[in-house]
Amino acid sequence: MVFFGIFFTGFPEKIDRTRISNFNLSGDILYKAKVLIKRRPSILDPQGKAVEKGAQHLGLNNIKDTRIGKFIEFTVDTADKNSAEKEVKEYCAKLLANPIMEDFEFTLEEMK
Amino acid sequence: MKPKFGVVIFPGSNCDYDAYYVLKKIYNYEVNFLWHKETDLKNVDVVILPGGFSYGDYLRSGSIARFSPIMNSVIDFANKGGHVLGICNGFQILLEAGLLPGVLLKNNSLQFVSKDVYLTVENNNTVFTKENKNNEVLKVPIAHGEGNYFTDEDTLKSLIDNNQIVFKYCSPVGKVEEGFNPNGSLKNIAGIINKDGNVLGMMPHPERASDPVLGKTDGKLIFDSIGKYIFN
Repeated sequence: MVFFGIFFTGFPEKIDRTRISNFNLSGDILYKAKVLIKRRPSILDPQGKAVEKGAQHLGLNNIKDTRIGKFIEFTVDTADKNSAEKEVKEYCAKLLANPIMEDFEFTLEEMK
Repeated sequence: MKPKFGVVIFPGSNCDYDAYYVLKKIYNYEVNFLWHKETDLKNVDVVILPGGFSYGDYLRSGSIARFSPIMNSVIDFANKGGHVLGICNGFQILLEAGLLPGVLLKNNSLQFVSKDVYLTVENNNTVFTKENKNNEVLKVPIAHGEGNYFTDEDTLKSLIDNNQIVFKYCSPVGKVEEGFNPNGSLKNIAGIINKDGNVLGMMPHPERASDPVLGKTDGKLIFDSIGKYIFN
């Protein structure tokens, strides 16, 4: 699942488990990865600026510095946390984020 | 000897047939379509990455196309000196593939801009621009939402030092000014070439300005140049 949105607080708490089966025969561990991609501070964000104009129209005059990034989540099925981290990092660095304009961070959570 | 062209088709390409039409019908070059799932470049001399919205432009323009099977062959081909021309979305793919430096951000106006622009040819010592002998200003259309070229200072300096900036947006008389910059590009950059001079990426569409029926033919300069100089 891929969500594109505006970040004000952080990751959503609720995980939709109905679509994910934890059962597997391989003995691997299933992790939920949550990736946050942010535009680097040095890169202007005209989209964020335009959205912030909407906030002003709503009368929300205390909203400042809106920056738009991406939130991406997926599962990783690996033997241990190290290999999961390695794979997620490669996914982020090579495809999900473009290091010229974006920074990324991620969390891995074992699914019970 | 005439060069043989290959036009890559990604899901979402929409200028593939425009490029094919110009190369085949206007120039009578041999042209092959290259399907994104294939790896065979069919012995072509020039690969064209056409405009469009490859893979729906999801994630970032060009980011998914860059990992398609055909692109591995194109990257190999380019690294061995093969000629590649990326137009619009093709330029975005070349940047994502690392064949050219920098990125294309959303236009600073946030709007999709579709109009004719004027270009100076900053470097006419390339296979793609040698026919521009008298430094004419070119009138060529653009049509994009993400054409705002950006790179860090060191890369920009290296682009300038190595004469890699090929096209800049300008006024009808060739003045490079911010007022004629349609998308916020750094230094009005509209197209750049790699150091070896075999990979060119540009946002404007020369294939849409190559048939007299369409009322403008300045784009022909690029296809004329390739035809004349690729083997010389």
